[in-house]
Parts: sequence; structure tokens; C-alpha cells
Amino acid sequence: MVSTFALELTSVSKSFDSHAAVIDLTLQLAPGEVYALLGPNGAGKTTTINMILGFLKPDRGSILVNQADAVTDPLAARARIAYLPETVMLHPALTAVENLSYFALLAGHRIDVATARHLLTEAGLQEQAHARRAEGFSKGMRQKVGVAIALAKQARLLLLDEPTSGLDASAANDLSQVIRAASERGIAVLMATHDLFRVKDVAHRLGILHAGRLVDERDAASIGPVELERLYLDRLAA
Amino acid sequence: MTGSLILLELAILHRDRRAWWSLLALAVLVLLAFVAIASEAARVDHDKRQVAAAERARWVGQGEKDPHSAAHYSIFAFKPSPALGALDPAAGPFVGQTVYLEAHHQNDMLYRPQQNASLLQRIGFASPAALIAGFGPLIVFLLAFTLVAQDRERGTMRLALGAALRPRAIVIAKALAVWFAASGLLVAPVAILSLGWLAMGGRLDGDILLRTLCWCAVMVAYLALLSAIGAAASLRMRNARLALTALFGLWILFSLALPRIASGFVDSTWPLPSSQSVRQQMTEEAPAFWSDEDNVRHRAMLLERYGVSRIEDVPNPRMAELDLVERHSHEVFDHVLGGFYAKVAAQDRMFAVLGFLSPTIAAQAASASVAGSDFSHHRHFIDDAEQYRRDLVNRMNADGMAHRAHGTERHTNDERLWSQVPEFDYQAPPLGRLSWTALPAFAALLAWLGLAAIVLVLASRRMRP
Repeated sequence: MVSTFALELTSVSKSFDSHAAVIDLTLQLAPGEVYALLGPNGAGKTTTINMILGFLKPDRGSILVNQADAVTDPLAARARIAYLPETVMLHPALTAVENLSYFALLAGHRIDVATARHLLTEAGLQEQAHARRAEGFSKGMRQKVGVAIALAKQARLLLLDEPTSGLDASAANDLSQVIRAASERGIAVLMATHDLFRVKDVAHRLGILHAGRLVDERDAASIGPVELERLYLDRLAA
Repeated sequence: MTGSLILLELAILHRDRRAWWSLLALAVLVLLAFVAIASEAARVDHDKRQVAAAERARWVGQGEKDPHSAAHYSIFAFKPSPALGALDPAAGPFVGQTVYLEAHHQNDMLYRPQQNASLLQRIGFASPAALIAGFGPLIVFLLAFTLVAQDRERGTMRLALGAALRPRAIVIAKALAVWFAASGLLVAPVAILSLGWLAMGGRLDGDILLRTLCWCAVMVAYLALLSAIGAAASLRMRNARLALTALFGLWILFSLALPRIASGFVDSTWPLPSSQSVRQQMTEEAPAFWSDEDNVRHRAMLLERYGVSRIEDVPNPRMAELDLVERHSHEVFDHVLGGFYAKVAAQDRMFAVLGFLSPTIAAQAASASVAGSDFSHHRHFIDDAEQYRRDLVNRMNADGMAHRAHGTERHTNDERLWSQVPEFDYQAPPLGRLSWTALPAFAALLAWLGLAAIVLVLASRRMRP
């Protein structure tokens, strides 16, 4: 049967030597759904993202990205994913527009300067920074260019790895708006984070990952901020 | 798409001060080296032409005398600088530029440019080819490190891999950008300058144009394989520091260690006899003064050649005997010097074969061959000058033998005969005629190019952030 999910992980496990990084992880994302994968450092969030991107091969289980098998055909899967790493490292010698053009070209899209400027503005980067080299950019500015790069790829799945880490409140809020806008356009978003406030702000569903296991999964709307924090701490303590 | 990517990669290189200025510095050195060698060669060639004209006037104006004495009066032959000698002088600085052509002797060539060379030229690092072959790898590896290893270290490669539809396109664009930058600054300007220089000097013809294109192809192929190796190594090493160490090690191995080891190996495995022993062998087998027994033997041979029983019946016995010993010396020179030159060629061929160990060796041997400045081209001049000498001496002796002269009688001649001897006008061989010695180097260069492409493709298949 053909999967209708934007992302579908089934019983995925990954170990490094004797250390189990991800254990029997199963989750699905529908188109337009924003899923927050919560967990402390070392919980397996980045390993999960690396497996979805095909940078790592799972020991067991299957990963489908819009019907493309990320295990057997990682390139096809990656073509359907826009990815924003925790720290967006741009080419410091290139301007924001040039960086966007470069990564868009890699993604198979030739974009003109006007389109690049539009995408950068949509991602929240101030206009006067568009023609500046990225070497002097703050983390928030780099993150915004990263968002523009992700948008330029026009993928149906957006992977965000700790996207608000190190961002100020304003930049984090800009990012929330971008995520909401993407969701409204039917783009599924998987966000690995430990920013509980942001999760409550933008996610439709959340899962708590602890020591490689998905220990809880909820609708974000069904739980308040205080309860979420208590639940998170309880699950980690268990 | 790939073209636009390469342009952006070139922009990154251009804006990276360390990489770009290093490349620019080497490019300027290459151009300065060319101008220094080309202007010196032009000055020396001008002097050679003037002296050659004076030599001709001296030859024609030597006055009335015995033709064999004229053969001893002799003439200097000058070797013009190879057209591409300023790109790659190769053996040029170490071999002579002129040879004294006289009866009975095949003389060594005189006046090695190395005797007047600057310190930089004497240590062998002052020609465009030597600079590109020796320092090209260092600069190309630095460029590859800047574009690939630093991208990985910074984390930019992770973002690129997440975005790329075909990850291989990332590294191929980077390798091509390094190749274009290196070729565009190290090879193209000096080749264009060389063509312009030759055109202004009236030396540019189809063969020289073809040689220049082939020289560019050799250097561009060399830089291409280095770009691929540099990108692949930067991609496979665990971190940037290891990549830099590995690339620096490869440069030392390819350009400094292996050429010296190869040269030492060839010298010790196929040693050359000393020039003194070669000269001594020639003197023993073709002496300037013959013993009484030899003279008796020569006279018997002359009687047989002329079909007479008395030496008085030979029209010009002195000249006939001189002709006899002259022709004997030709056989000796062919045998002794020919053997020596064959050993030098064997050494060159083995050095070219060792190009399979290091692309720098392959590039050096191939470059010298297409530039027409390797030993096989020098040998072509030696043979040409020697043939001219033999023709001159034979013509003088023939004139003497055609006229009766006995005892203290001497047949003499004058400008009418001297001017019949054509001027020495050396024509370098066309491309390809003398390339067989360097053929293994061309094969090695192609093998390295293929290997580098395979290594790059394999490395790009296993790309990790």
C-alpha cells in the first residue's frame, strides 16, 4: 500500500558500537503537520535526522520520505527534504544572495537575484544584509539564510535540527512564523528541539525521545505549557 | 547548473585571501620566469646570429689555401634556443650552445647557459614548467583544501549535502573550480605570452603553435589530476588538519622526494661513463697522430682503393690518406658517442617510466619533450651539426683528392670553393618525431589522470558531512 505520509519511520534502530542511539522508533508525519521531537542532548534526535537524511544507515527499520526509501535510496529521499541544521554554516566569502543561489543550485533550482531577495525577506533577513558577505552574520542571520535555503528547495518535508538554539526571542519568533507558513502550504515539519516554549507555539504533535526511545507522544493542543514541562521532566527522570 | 556552481566556487576562492594570493604569487613568478628566460634567450640568439654571420664571413674570407687546412680552419655552429625553451628549458641550461666543427674531431658543445644563470635558475626553480611542476601541487592542494576540507570543518558541507540532489555535483564543481583557477592563472597567461613573444619574433608557425597547445595540455592535465587528488583527499580525511597534513605530505612525495629518488635510482642503475673516459676512448680509436704501422696499413688500403701498385699513382696521396682517417673517425664517433648518447636516452626513458610513481615526474618529462628542450632534441642538434661537419670536411677532402699533388706539392683553393659550402642552418624537428623517449611519461600522465578521476568519483560516492 502506498504511504500517504510525508515521513514514516517504522521500527528504526541505530547503534554505535555497543551504544544504542535510537531504539525501535516509529513515527509518521502527515503533510502540513508540525511534529516536535523533544529530548535532551544525546537522546537520539540528531541521529534520527541523520538517518532520515541518509547520512547514517539504520541498523533496522524503514524510513520513507514521501514514498522514497531513505535507506535504500537516500538521494531520492534527500531530494524531497529541506534541511536546516542546528548551526547553519554558510560560505563566509559569499553574500546572503550568493549563498542562497549556491545552495538552491545544488537543490536543482536556478534562482535570480529578485527571487533570492524575496526568499531572504520571507525568512526574515533584513534587506541591507542581502548583499553582505556572510562572514559577519550573527547566528540568527545565518539561520534565516538557512531557512531561505530550505524554502528555495520547495521540498515537502522540512527537517529542523535544534532550529532555535542560540537565537534571540525575535529571531525565534520569526522562525515560528516561517514554520507556520510552511505548514499552511502543506509542508510537513519535523523539528528536533528541547525548546518547550517553541514546541507549544508551533507544533501539532510532539514526541519525547529519551535514551533513544520514544517514551511519549501527544497532541500539542491537548497539553498546557506547565503540564508539558512536568511531563517532559517526568519522562526524562523515569 | 554546474557552470553556475563553478562560478560561485571560483568567487569563494577569489575572496579567500590566503588561497588566491598564493595562486597569484605563483602565477606572477611563472610569468617573471618566462620573461627572464625569454629575454635572455632572445639576447643570446641575437648574439649567436651576429657571431654566426661573422663566422661565415671568416670562413669565406679565409683566403687561398689547401682545402684540408680549410677544414681545420673550421667554423662554429650555434644552436638556436628552442622556441618553447622559455616555457621549459629542461636540459637546455646544462648543455652547450655552440660547437666547433673541425676536421678529425667531434668536439663537445661549449658555453652552457647554466654558467651565466642566476642563483634561482641554478637551483632549477626558475622556469615556468619547473615552477608549475614543483609548486603547482602545493597551490592546487591549498585551493582544494580551502574549498573542500574547510567546508567540511566549518559545517558548510553538511548544509550542502542536505540541499544537494546529486552530492557528487558539490565536489566535482569544487574540483573543477580549483582546476580552472589553477589552469587559468598558471598556464593560460604564460602560454598566451609565449605565443605573442614568438609571433613578435617571427618564430610562430604551425608546429610551434601545436607544441604550445600540447605543452598547455600536459600542464592542464597535470593540474586536473592534482585538483581531483586534492579534492578527494580533502574529502576522505577525518578533519581539516589531517587533510592539510596529507596534502602537504603528497606534495613533498610527488614533487620533492620521488623525482630525486627516481633520478638517483636511474643514475645508479643505468650509470653513464664519464665524459673523460668517452673522450679517451675516441682518442684511442681515432688518434690525431698515427703510428708508422698504421701509416703503412693506410697506404695499402689506398693502393687497393685506387687499384694501383705505387703510391705515386694516387693523384693526391696525402689528401686521400687524410680522407681515409677522417672516414674512420666517423665510424668511431658513431660507435663511441652513439653508445654514450643511447645510454643518456635510456636514462631519460627510464625516468619517464618512473612517471608512473609520481605525476610530477610524468609532467616534467612530457613538458620537456613537447617543448623540444629535452636531451633527444639536443641530440638532434648534435647529429645535425656533426653531419654538417662531415659534409664540410668530406667536400674539402674531395676537392683535394680530385687534384694531383705529390711530395711537398699542395693543391689550393679559395673563396670559390669555401662559398659553395652552405651556411649551417639548424631546423628543429617537428613535434612527435623525437617524442618516443617521453612516451612513457605521456602514458603515465594519462594513467594518473584516470586514477585521479576514479579516486574523486569514489570519494564523492561516500560523501559524509
